[in-house]
Amino acid sequence: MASLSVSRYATLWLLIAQVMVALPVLGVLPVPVLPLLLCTVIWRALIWFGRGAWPSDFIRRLLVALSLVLIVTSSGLQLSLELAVAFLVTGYALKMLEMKTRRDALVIAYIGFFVVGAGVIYSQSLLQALYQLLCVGLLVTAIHAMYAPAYGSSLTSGIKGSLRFTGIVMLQALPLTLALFIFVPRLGPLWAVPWPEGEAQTGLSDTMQPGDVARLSQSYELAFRAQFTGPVPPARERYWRTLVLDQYDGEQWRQSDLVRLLSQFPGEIADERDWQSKSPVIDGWWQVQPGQYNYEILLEPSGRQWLPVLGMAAASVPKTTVLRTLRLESDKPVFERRLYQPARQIVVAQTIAMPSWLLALNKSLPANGNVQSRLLAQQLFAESGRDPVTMARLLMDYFNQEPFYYTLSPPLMGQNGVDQFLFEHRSGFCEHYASSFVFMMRSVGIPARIVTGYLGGEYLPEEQVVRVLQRDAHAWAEIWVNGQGWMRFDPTAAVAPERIDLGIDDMIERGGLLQGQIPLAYRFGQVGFFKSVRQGWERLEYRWQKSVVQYQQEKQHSFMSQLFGTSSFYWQQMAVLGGLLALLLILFGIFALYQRPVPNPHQKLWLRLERKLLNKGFERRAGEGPKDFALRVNAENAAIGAQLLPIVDLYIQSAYSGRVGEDKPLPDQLSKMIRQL
Amino acid sequence: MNSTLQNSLDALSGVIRGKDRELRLALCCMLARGHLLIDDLPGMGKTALALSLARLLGLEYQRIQFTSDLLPTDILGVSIFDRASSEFQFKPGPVFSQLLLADEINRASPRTQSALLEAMEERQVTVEGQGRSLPEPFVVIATQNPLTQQGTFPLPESQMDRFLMCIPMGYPDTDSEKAILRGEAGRFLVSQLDQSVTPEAFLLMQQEVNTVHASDLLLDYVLRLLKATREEGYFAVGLSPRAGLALLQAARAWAYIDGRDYLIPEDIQAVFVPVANHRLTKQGISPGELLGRVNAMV
Repeated sequence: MASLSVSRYATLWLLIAQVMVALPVLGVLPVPVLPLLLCTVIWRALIWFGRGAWPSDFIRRLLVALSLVLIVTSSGLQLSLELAVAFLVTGYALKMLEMKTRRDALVIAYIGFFVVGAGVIYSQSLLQALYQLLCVGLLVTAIHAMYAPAYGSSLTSGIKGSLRFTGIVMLQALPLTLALFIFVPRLGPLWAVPWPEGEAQTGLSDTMQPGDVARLSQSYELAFRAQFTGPVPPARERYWRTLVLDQYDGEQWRQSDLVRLLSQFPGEIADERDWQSKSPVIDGWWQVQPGQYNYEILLEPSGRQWLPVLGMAAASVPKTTVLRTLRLESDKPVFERRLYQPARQIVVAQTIAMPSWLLALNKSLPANGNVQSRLLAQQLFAESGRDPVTMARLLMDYFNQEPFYYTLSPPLMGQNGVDQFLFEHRSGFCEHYASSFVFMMRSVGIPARIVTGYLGGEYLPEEQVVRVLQRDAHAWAEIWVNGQGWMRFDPTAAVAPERIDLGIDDMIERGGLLQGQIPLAYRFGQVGFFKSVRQGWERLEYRWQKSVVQYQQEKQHSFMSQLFGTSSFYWQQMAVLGGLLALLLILFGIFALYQRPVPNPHQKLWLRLERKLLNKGFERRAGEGPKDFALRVNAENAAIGAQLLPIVDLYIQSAYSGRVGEDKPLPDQLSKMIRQL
Repeated sequence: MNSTLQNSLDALSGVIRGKDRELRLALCCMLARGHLLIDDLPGMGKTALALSLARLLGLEYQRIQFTSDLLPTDILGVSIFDRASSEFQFKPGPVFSQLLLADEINRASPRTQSALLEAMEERQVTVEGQGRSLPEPFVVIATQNPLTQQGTFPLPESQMDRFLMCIPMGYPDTDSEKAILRGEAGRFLVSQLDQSVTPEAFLLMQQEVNTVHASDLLLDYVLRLLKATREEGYFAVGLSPRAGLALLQAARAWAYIDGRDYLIPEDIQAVFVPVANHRLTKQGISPGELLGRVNAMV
């Protein structure tokens, strides 16, 4: 039917919407599919311009088969999110080539909403959200265009009309959207697509080889944001402690795990709690004191379990564990942005000694290698009078006075890496300094370990937010001092104090650490006006993440607890459901009032009659007139019919003949007869 | 029941068996001053119906067999030069009659069709610049072969609108057909029909039909029906206000045959399908199904 085909105008909107909607997810599609999608869009555009023909059935099937083959060959048959999205987007594009009726067009528009939704999986930033809002607007406009009779006098006025309509509709949808956002319970996913291994893991890893942190320093990705209330520590104090690496095999630092400990130190560990405890304070090793800084962290998904904390972790937060190395670990890998608030406490070691197995672990080194370094360490140790702190200071002085350089692109080092670094190249990144520092400490029997994490981060004063990028990754050292516990030493500070004071950006500006490798956009973002614009945007983004994206189960629960005064999930949901139902009823009521004509006296009477007959099992069909109905009842049940026929006759007389008077009161007789029926 | 009309109908059903409803609709159409289109295959009794009606009501009857080479003048008439008086003299065509049977109207060319259709609408014809009015009553019964047959010119929608009703004849049921085969009914009986109504009386009846009362309640029902044809998406194009008027007029005639001077919903339902069927482009449902979906009462 001509009127149910899709107008050129609507098709134009659909095409624009389609391109816009598909753009953000193109990045996750298999590359070979992209030309195919481009071709379909161009083909459809050609049809729109009247220069192309609709593809035949055969070609359509061929296209479907081709895209299937392309997708499966390039991403495999294993069920994954990417595969699903690829199918969705490809289907979305191909469907345009057989869009002939309005029904097809509607299907395409609805798939469009779905694709917009799929985009959320990959990014939840403010920018993305605004873009998706635009896409939704386009789709709504396209649907409106399908039903618009024509675009009126001119294209521009048509577009204006469509856009105005879209604006109104979206504004109308706003209250409902807000209500749904606030009240609909956040349920876990009903099914999960396996998260691809490796790809998802960003940031620090739980092993460290020279070069790891340096590589990370080239990543401009956001690691996390910290929101402070109250004082904010200066950049040089912002050591975001994340991982503790205490085992060294000559090349790689790693985190010792329980199994290895048990095999190495049998009998020493009474139970698991000794190693990993919900509250280290119980063990009496540490005492906690109120800390100065109050903050919460919004961690970007890392695919790993570590959680950065300023200084040492004290008490655990929900769904985490404090490990014996005083770092915080999430119970599950962080695959979604996570908000947590570390306890406002600092940990102070009490004057007790470490158990011997832990001491031994933190002193252990490979039996041989790096002879020169060991010798140097012996020498310094002797100079220090066998005092660990003095020894550490001497070592720092050594780094400071000898010609050491701080560089992001250090030469590769093989066996005896520490020797090579200390005596040959003398240039390296923080992990080289930390690593050789800990090596030398251990070689003279001082317990020492490497801590990796982030240092500094950009402070946005108006929001009291510190943004930490992956490139702020850092490595430093901790040594055990009897009576004082673990003390932090950052050998990088001795070599390149600017790194500590000013952060990595200024290092790059001054020293030209990484020439030609910094993205232009990033450099722009560091200059004057652009910097303030960027920071303003980042503040907005932070607010968006914190108040909208992070409005998840727990926040919702606490909000609703406040609102309804009950913390029971079920009562809250009952309240929401009740509210929604009431709202619906009110809306329906208003709608019905406006829609339904007020029945006149005749109709009221007739309705009464109908109800009465319904009780007796006779229901009038919608299209049945009074006489037909009465005759039918009579045919089915003569007894009732005998009573009914005169009533209906009288009714017809009074309602239709015009003799009784339509607005005059009905004959009392009629209502009496109905009552008696 | 109006006894005169009832008698006429009874007489009619003696000629055309098993078609009581169609007969009544045809009579109803004529009472409502409408023209009738009969849409069916040849040999279903269309001509017999027209002939019997003419005979029964004592109307002057003419018949045109439409062919593809029929010209407008063949219908309207032509002026011929008369030697004796040295003047042109108008020879009226078959259209100047009270009941005109236009057989197989869709076989003629559109130009000829429109000549007739103009006459139907205006109730006068213009020949050589001079308007000539047609006799009263003037009723056209046109028959039409289903359009799938070859060599037909389908009537445009706008011209279909000129016909008040469009009814199919349909095959007779077994008993009636047996009677026909036995020779108990059929066209040969037409000549034996008695005239039961004079044309003057019929004109009076037509005027009386106009006075049949339509209450507010009933008009609401008609409006609901019209609205449903336009808004529910059942049909590509809904009924026009003119179609609404036609529906009401036809229903009045139907009620008049019943002997009532007011309308009830059943009257509307009785004539709705023949009135609406040829004016609606069918899509989801038929007009008959629509009746079942629109509430007749409240």
